[in-house]
Amino acid sequence: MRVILNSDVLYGDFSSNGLPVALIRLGEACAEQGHVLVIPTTTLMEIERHQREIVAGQRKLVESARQTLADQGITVPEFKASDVVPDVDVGALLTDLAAEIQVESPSLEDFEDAHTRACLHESPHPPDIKSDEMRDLVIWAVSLRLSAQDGHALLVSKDTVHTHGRGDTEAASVNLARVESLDAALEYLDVKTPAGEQLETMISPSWTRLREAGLALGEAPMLLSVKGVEFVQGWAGPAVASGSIKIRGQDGKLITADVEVDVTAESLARLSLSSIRVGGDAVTDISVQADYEPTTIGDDSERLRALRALLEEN
Amino acid sequence: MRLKLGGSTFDNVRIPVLWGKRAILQDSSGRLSVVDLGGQTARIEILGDQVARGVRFSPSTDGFMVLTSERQALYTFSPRDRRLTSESLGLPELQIKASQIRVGTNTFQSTMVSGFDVGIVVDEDGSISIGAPLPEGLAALVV
Repeated sequence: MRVILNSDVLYGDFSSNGLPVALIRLGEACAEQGHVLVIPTTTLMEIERHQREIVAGQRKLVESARQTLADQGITVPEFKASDVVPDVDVGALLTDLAAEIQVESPSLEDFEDAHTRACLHESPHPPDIKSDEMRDLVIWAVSLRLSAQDGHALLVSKDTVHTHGRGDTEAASVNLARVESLDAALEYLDVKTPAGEQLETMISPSWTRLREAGLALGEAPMLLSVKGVEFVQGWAGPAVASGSIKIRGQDGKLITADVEVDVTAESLARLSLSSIRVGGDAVTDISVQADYEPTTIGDDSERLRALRALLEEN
Repeated sequence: MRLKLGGSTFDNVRIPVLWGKRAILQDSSGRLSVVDLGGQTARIEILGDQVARGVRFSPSTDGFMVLTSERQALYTFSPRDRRLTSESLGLPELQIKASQIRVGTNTFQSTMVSGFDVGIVVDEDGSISIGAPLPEGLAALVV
């Protein structure tokens, strides 16, 4: 499968921080699973422009610092700002990713398709804004083309042109999946994200109780994927956790369910499974007292005091 | 009161950086807090680099994403990079480094702002103002 990246999931300061950690993990996941990361030239040019602007800003600051020191009569050795803040070679950074990288240029048909949509405000172009986002429409056209060619593709973008319901029918017609972040792309590829790993630590101690409650987990259940994970912060750690899980259970049967963990006291939690399907068959909801013992992030009162002190002083 | 943030100095400034409707503050230990002033009352979303109590969130590879109660992604905070990235707020990325404040591709260093409600205002349309009154309709910064 080809995984197509829009520029808005790739912003950040590469000169200081390197590539986003999530992109590195996505590269590893794609390499392991045989997927190809596609960087449309539109995306590449946007990222390169963004990085050039950041580098130019950093160099300006370096020059300004040198001038300030000179104004104060402080001698500074000769140096070039471009040596202190070198150019960011986006192409080289991307090449370091574990996955195969494909830089995809739009075809003439892609441009014509995007041009028509922009001019006529056709879907998925927003009908109610003045901007004609050709770049986003070009990426949309490229994504549809690649997905139609391969029978399936994944577009990673948070842009409203790509994520809005206006594009649902067209995306479905070529089996183009869409997610809004690199972490969501990892989830899509069934790679456990930090969120999934955190939820797993809350669920896995309760396999025995779930088995006793009648869930056909078998002796060695395997949590295959965790998706859509959310938490609500409590006084010293998550008070509520939820998500969707997929487990390999008894006799290799797939179990899917929505899960919610409610931490009702410091070391007491309730684990509820709903919309359970075992091997495709619906099963009654299950709720058990969980064995999860919360690992706390620490009392927040000291941090709150520090914030209030700041505001009172001010 | 003199506040230091990202290498800049904010003298007699109540909010050093207003990112959309969110006040960005740094405590004496250098930890960042984000307070939403868009409701009737101020609501802490990030307290000292960590998710505040009662806030819905999803951990991400480099931090966590703050969500609405309806589970819409608002923004991602990376404590390591001290970076706020908009998911649905339509705001340029904000990064508070040790010696500079970066808003999108604009950087501020050794900036001095004095005698304003807000030091740096970042608007949804991408515009940036230095030294401004508190925009109308925002809640008081009381936590």
